[in-house]
Amino acid sequence: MIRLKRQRREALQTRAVVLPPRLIWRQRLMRLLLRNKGIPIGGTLLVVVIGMALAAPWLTHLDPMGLNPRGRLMPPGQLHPFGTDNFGRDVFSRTVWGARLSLEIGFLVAILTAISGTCVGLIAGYFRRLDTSIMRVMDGMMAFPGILLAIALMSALGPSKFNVVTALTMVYIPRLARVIRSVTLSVREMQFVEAAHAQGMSHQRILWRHILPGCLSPLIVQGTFLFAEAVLGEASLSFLGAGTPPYIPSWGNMLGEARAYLRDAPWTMLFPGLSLTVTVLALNLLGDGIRDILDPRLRRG
Amino acid sequence: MFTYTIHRLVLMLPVALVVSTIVFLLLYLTPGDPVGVMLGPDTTEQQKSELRARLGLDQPAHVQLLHWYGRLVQGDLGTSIFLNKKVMLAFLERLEPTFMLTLLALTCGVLIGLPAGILAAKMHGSWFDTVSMLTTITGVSMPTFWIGLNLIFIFAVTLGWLPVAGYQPLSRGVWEHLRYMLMPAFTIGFAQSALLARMTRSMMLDVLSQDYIRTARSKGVAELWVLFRHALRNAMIPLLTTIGLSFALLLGGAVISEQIFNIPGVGRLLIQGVSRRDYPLVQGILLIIAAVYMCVNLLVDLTYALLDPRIRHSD
Repeated sequence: MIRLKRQRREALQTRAVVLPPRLIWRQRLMRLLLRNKGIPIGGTLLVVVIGMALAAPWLTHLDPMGLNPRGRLMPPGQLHPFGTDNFGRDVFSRTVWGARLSLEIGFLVAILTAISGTCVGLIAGYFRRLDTSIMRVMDGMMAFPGILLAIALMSALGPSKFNVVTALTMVYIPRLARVIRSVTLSVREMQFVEAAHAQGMSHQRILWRHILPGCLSPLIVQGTFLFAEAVLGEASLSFLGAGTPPYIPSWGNMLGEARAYLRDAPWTMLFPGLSLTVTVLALNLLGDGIRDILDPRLRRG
Repeated sequence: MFTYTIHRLVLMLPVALVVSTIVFLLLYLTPGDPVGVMLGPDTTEQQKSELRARLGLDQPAHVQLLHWYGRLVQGDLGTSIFLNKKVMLAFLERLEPTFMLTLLALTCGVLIGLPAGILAAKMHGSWFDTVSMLTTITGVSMPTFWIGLNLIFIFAVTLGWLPVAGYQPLSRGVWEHLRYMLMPAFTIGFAQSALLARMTRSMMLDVLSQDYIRTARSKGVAELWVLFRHALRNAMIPLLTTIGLSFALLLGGAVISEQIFNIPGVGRLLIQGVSRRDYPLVQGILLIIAAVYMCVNLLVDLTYALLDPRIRHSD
């Protein structure tokens, strides 16, 4: 079986050699995309979740925060496809609006962490004199289990959407900074950087034009994983009551409340949890797939 | 080995300094007056200034920081405001459940993760490989607390086999203790086993494709011996790091698991501290946990050096 696969791969490779260069490139990309299952599956799932988040106002006319004390804990039915929770709020509309919040926070955290983590990593890796002190601070921040540092930061900052983004970003920066630093360390030893130096290029320009592009692919891969991590992080914080304020529909908040009603209303636990898992799974699959394509060291065959 | 140990210990010092400074700064992140936040709105100015004096907040920041270091060197973590108890004492009282939970979860993670990873690597490309890898990526993506809620729903609410929540100390008998700990430990252990299985598989695949494995096989070494003696031993070093690093996952998971299953452990103490804004308590617990995490990783590094002499002598 394995030998057959190898023969087929070799056959494809020998054929590729005969083709003109541009076709080879395109064919290789197509082949990579086809062999890679993570990107199509993860991508499709993610598109569904994003679609749900964007179309939230049209998918449901029910107010996700609208209380209805007489319709508490109603099982899924015609009016409420996912049932209602302990305050009589519609679980479907809360789940749909929760997607918006999760993606919003996940995306913001990923972008902010990518920007600040890259800056820190570039500086630490490029200016060797600052390296030790910067990386010791990063090591110190990594000495806390992530979720605990986030909880502590939230307890100091107070509950709000903005503070969740701040806390999670601060927790994830060191990890990204480490990756970018190690890439910077290897790129700055390359000959083209030396050549740029010799030409009298400024540090800023070298960092921007020569080193940053080298960091791009790990940045994209790590960014995708950070997105997934941040979605989980927000949900965990909210579940513990240290995240998004309780009145805002968030999957973590919903699950935190559902805990007391497992016996009477399991649907309040099922739907937000399922959406959360699907979203994170989609991002993880996508990240795995992108890594296989962008990181030639891990590519097999 | 002795020099290496000393070297590692010295390297830990600056990190410890940074850690304690971060924890100190937490209080300064609070917008406005932290004392007002701690005591709530209905307090007199006198009560506030008393607490401020007790916490040393009436002194300039750099003096406070020096005092903080001084106290830490003496092993004094301060006093909880609400429990009116030394933080260290409060921590020790709550240690047993958290310790047992982490230990059981680690056992759970290793017992599931390692065999699954080894088997998946051995049967690379088979249905077992596919199924276990699908399971692990789902396992990594599922939030810990949702796994816990599902377990409660299935095994406690629907089947009634295990208690919904709560805790029985070890002194009440091992079986009684385990009955309460099984679901909480599995909740955390599952995520860890998924991580370990993925790591084990890729490490074993790497090692199994090496020349010396082919040599061992061709000279007729038994397959099991090849797997465990030749391959696993070399895959073990990166795996140890993963286990060490995932210890953070365990500690974080313990906080969540204790919250779901109403276990009176350190995690619940921390969450209570957060919701009551008991800053000395939160700071103290955070410091202890960071210290434990750092020590575990130090132990991992030392074990590493013990297993692989190359690391000992490299720097």
